[in-house]
Amino acid sequence: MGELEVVDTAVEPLSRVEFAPDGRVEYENGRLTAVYPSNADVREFVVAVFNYRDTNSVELPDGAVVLSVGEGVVSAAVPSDAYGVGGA
Amino acid sequence: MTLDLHPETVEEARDRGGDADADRPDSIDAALESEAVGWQEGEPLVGDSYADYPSRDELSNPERGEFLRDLLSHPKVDGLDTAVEELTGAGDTGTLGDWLATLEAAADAHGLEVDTLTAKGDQGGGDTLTSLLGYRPPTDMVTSNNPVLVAELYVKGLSIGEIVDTLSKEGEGSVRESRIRDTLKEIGLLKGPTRDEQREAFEEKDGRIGGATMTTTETGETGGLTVSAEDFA
Repeated sequence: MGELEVVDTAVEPLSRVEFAPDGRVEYENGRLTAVYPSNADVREFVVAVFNYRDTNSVELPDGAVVLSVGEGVVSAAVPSDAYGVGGA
Repeated sequence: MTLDLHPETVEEARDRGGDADADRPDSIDAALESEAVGWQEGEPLVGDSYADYPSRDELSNPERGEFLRDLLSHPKVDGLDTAVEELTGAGDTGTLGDWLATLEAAADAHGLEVDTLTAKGDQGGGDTLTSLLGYRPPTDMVTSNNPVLVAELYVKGLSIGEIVDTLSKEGEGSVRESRIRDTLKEIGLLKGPTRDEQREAFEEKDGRIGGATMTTTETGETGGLTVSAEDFA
């Protein structure tokens, strides 16, 4: 096994964090940990909250990584290029 | 625009006694409500219901970008502070600071230029007074001391309280309801004497209100009320 990169940081909704999603990603109590090969492609993510209280389903953008589920919300790391307003 | 002084109009205005006209056009309500910036104040600035507004955390949802753009570009939103005021009823500085930070981060994530979106210029095209009157009067005419303006707003169906709110938002600071009421009395759109007239009538009676009178009696070295403890036994 080659060299691994470790990201260990406190996050909250709208925090930006960079990691490679094909490694191992963990999240607990507002702390995100990602471990991935040093030569993997890194992407920028934004931590986002999706509400499923009313619908029992959520639609996540492509490439999103689920961090936690519970109490009516899904927390996920969303690729930053999923943001932006159409036509803006 | 000409002030409507038809006898029926004047009579109805006097009978209202300073209240709003229950039969006024919906456009007047719409103009007053659309002005309301603030959580649960009047109609929401974006969408149909405050129930559809995102919580602070939900602003992180990528699909809320359009909402955020519409809010920041609304004619009544001139900065992030105003946007926060519309999004939450919180009043403590800590919570408001959290909202401000979230809005900044959300705008940044969505690539929205806050300064550009919130710059409204000097036209004030969406202000309440213009919506109510259908035109924008010269700046020096927009004052609570202008009886023509006050009369125009009252005859259009606004209550005294609504006139106060409208003119207070025109940068005049706090406008007193009693001042507006006096103006309407002076020009005959409200019944009853003005405060000055009441004061003059009071002075003409030598300051006597009538009713209860009080007399004082010299009682020697000590004066005042004598209370017996037996009365409270």
